[in-house]
Amino acid sequence: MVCGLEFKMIDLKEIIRKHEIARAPVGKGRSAAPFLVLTLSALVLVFGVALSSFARQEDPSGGTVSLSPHERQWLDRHDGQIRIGITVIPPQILLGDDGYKGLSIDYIRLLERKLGCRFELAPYPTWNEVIQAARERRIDMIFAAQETPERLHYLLFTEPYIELPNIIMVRKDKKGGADLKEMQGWNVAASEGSAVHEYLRREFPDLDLRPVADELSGLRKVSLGEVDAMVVEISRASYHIEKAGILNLRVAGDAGLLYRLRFAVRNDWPELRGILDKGLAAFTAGERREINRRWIVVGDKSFIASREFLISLLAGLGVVVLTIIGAIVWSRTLRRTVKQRTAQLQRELAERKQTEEALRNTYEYTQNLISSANVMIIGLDASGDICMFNTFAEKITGYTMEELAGIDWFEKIVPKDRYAQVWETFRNYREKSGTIPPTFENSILTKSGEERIISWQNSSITAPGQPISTISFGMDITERKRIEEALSTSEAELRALINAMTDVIFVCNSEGRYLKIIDTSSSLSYKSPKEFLGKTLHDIFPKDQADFFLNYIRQALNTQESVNFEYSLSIENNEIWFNATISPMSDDKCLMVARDITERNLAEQERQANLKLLESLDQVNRAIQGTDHFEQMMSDVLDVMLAVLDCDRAFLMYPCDPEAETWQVLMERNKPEYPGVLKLGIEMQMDPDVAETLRILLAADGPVKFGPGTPYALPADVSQRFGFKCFMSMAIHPTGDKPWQFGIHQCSFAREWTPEEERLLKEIGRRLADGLTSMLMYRDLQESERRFSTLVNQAADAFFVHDMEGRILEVNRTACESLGYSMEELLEMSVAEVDAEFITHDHVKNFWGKLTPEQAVTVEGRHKRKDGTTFPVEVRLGLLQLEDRQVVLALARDITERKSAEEALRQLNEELEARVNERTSELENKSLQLYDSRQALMNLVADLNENTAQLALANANLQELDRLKSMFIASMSHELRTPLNSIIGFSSIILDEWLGTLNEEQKGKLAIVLRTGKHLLTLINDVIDVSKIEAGKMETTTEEFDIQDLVGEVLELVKKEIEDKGLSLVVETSSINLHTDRRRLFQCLVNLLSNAVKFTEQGLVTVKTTILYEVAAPAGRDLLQITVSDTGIGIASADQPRLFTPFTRIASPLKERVKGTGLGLYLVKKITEEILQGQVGLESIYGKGSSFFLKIPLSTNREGGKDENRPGG
Amino acid sequence: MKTVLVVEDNQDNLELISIALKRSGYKVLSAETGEMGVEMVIRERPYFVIMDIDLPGIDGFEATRRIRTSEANGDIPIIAMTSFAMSGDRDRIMAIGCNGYFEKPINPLTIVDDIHKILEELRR
Repeated sequence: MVCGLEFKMIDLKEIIRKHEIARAPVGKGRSAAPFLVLTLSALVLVFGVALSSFARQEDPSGGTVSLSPHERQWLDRHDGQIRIGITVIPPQILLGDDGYKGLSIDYIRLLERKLGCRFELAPYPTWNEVIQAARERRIDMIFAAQETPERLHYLLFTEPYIELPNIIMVRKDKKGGADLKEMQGWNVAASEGSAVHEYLRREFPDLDLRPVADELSGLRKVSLGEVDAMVVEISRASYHIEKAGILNLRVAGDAGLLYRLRFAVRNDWPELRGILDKGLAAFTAGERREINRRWIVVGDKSFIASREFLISLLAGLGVVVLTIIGAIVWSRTLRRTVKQRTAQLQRELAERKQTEEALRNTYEYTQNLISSANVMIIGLDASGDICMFNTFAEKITGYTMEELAGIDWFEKIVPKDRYAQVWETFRNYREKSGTIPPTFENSILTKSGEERIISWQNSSITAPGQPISTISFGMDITERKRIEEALSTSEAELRALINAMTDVIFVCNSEGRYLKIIDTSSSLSYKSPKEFLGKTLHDIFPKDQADFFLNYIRQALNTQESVNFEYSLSIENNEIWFNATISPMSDDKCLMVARDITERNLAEQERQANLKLLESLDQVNRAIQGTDHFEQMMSDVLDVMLAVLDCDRAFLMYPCDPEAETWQVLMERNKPEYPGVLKLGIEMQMDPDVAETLRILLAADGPVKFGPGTPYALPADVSQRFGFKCFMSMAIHPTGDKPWQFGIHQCSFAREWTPEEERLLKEIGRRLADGLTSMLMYRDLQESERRFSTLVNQAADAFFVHDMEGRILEVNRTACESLGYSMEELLEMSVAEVDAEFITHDHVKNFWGKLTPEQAVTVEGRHKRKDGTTFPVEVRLGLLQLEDRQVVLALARDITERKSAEEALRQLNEELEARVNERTSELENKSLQLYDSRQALMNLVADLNENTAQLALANANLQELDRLKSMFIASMSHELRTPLNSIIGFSSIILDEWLGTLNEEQKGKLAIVLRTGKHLLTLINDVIDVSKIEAGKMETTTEEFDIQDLVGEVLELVKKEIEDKGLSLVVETSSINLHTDRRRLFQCLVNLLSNAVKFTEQGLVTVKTTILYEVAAPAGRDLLQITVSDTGIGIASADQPRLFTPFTRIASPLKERVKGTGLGLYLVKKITEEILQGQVGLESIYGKGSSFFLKIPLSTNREGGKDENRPGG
Repeated sequence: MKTVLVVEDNQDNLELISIALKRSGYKVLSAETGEMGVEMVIRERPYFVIMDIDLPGIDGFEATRRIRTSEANGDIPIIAMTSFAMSGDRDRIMAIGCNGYFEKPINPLTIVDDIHKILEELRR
């Protein structure tokens, strides 16, 4: 604050006093400059100090609001729904182009920011209505409000959000500060009824209070010096001064009254008041200052600062005030001098203004006079240029002054052919007298090319300071001239006319005396003109006739108006009709013109007849055209018929068809005395008479008359029933419908219809047919049109009809909706405004020109909505050939969605294509690799195929070999066994000495043959069995048998050998029924038992059967265990695993002695497992003996065994 | 002295059986073919017939069937003799009317006793 050091001491009020309104132009008076410099310096200082003090004061928390959870919840619940009533109170609340603004609005917005919520503004026209709304709870909150006791009934008031001081405003030329305490006798204005008015009245009774209607008028009064000061609230003062542009006011002091503006909320919402108070508390001084500065420009900003600010300001100022005093003293002196001089100058200026005003009034008066005069007033300056040209001159010439100024106006307004002559006149006169002629007449040419004759009056004037040297007054005398001209012409014409006239013309006086007979070429005079002259009417005509004429003459003379009348005279036994006009020439004289109208009258009668026909027809036409309503039309026509033809009944009957079964009269009009014969819509049965009538009508080409004096009889029944004595009727043929009958009845007498009536009926009938046709067509058309318009209006597509210039003629609702225009708007528009892609008129006209009615064209384009947005459309255009012109019919479909779908599809396709391409190249690479792999694979396959072929060949060979082997075995076994039969058989009987005794040696050797033979047989049998089993061809036969029997048979075979070896045999068996392959079980047991005997030298052989009941076994699948044990050599455990393999013979001490094939146990295992469905096993201790066992099911029957198979069951 | 007929084409076997039968006091007739066997049964009406199944011409099955269909000889015991066991042979042999059945090689020492056992069974 460098500048602050220059001041020593300053008083706040002093600053206020010194501070004129901020907008005061600085450079207005040079003498004020030092003062202003000082003031501004002071302001800078004040603001600097203020700013620094605010900066210190500012809440470091930055003005946040801490609401309680309850309050926050309440606010969230009501956010956006709190309605604030507002009305325009400048500058608290103003309505600008961009909505509501103002001091209080800014505070509301600040409050919204603080609280993080939105208030809804509810505007009302007046403050009273706002208050009323608050009272009725239509709004929740008001602001810019002051607390009053009445309002406390329904409102809760917050702390003030702004305090606005009332200030004392004075004229700038009023010196010094102002303090209400020291203003006794001052005229002080205050807004009437305002709080400040009341305050002043109460607190300062010494003041001369001048209530004013409003602030602005008060401030104006101060400005004009009508009052000394005004006390007014600062923001209002600021607003009005700025608005009205009042420059000569300043703030002179504080009135000591603060307006505290508060928010107020409905009193059932105390939460809101709490919340608002918290929000207000969070306003920082900086924020308040920012808002105030925006809206209050009068006075010092510090004026409305908070008390804290004022204190800190004073403190800050105290440091520097002393430095200022010197400057103040100096500036005051200087200022006083300047003020005095200024006042003097202002006085002078005021006087001068008064004079000027008077002058201006005179001038304006003159101007008004000139411009409103009904005479052309043209002023010329010394060089002849126009410098004055009044309104009338403009009106007459058609030119304005500007158009004529600075050019050769003379040439422009004087007609070419007279230009030279006029100019000559002027020049001559000027040469003679040095001025222009004072009066003259000439023609001028108006702007529109019309010639007018003007009579001019000119005068030269010399007025000091005025540019006008000549002033001309011009009268438009064109009409007058024209009449004069016409008059002279008409005189000559009149003469010619009279000569040509055939009328009788004479002049009479009021007594009917002929004064003058005009000699016309009339050939029809009653008598020669000479006989009339000097005589009276009564001398010439019979008294009646004479009185008749005289009466008219007197009437004309009395009324001084022409009288027209007609009369007839018998001249040479011919009745001649005259038309006479008597025109007054003076009070006593009149002119009578009589014209022979005999022929005219005859023609007139003819004409009248025609006229009546035409009028009747016209009535009929009007009846037909006058209504769209069918019944109404018919009814009107029939009314006309009745009236015009004066018949008793007129009717319309349908159908005029003799073949129809019924007919009905659809419409009927009748005279009251011949009442309604047929009620509307009643159907009548067709009778032969009526049918005949109809036939006659259909055959005729026009009306047909029926009844007496005509060739046609009346239909008997109908005419009797409905009492008509004659009738005339015709068939009418509307297009597209059956014929109708149209006719008239006469009931009162047997009327003879005149040819005119016949003609009329025919004409009416013809028109009626036309009317009916168009009515029926119209009905069809209406129907079709209604269908069409329904279709068009309900169409989903926008529908336009426009002409070849693009002007829109018709649209449907969809068109309006899609474009956002009203139908009225669209009908005023052209295609160019709707088509967003409209290029040029020529372009589209060319396009439309190519359309044909036969083929519609579909194009795509964009339409533009009222809001300027566009959308894609598909338009189907067709040419519609109307009667007199062509129009374009366009159906536009909004294809936004289709377009976006297409676009989406296109993008998708592109993406897909890209991906496909990518994939394709990948696949191509892969494919190449695969191709290589495949090639390798094919090579491999080829190799494999080759190998397979070889293998297949080998396999076939093997199979062949296998077959050969089987064949070999089968045949060999048979072939081998047959000779063995002989060997075994014969050696048996020889050894049994059937053929003679043998010695011991013979017996011994023969026994070897027998034994070897038997062994060979066993060998062969085993080989056969093995080959069968291995080939899966072992046949199986199941049968029922007792195991005890089987064991017995087996023992038979080995009994002899057991006995021979001296072994003991133990059999532990019982009767058990088996159902299995007996033969194979037998074979197994023989094998095991003979093995046991074979390998046992001493001890015992045991055969044992046991049933193994197994809980888990299915019914009938209980097992039989057959055990064959011996006390023989046993089998080493190492040899046991290969015991059951074919061709295995275990090395043993007995091996050499015991014959064996090595197939026996193999066969046992195979048979047990595959035929008997059992198992074989052994337990053996080498050197101690072996125990072989079979475990086989009691029954191989798949369905299960029977209970009785169980022993002891 | 009872006459029996052996239908057998193998001479060795025929002789062996004949020896056994003659030793037991039977008069042994023989036929080498099935046709001849049938003819001899009809003509000679033997006490029983030993019929080889595997014969040239009509086989033992056919011969047995013909003997059984001849009314007069319907009840002559026929004992079949087969050199190989085929699947279902035994059932087939018994089904066509044979009364007994032996497998080759026969045991000449026991065959006559075995035949007598069969005949006794029949008689019971």
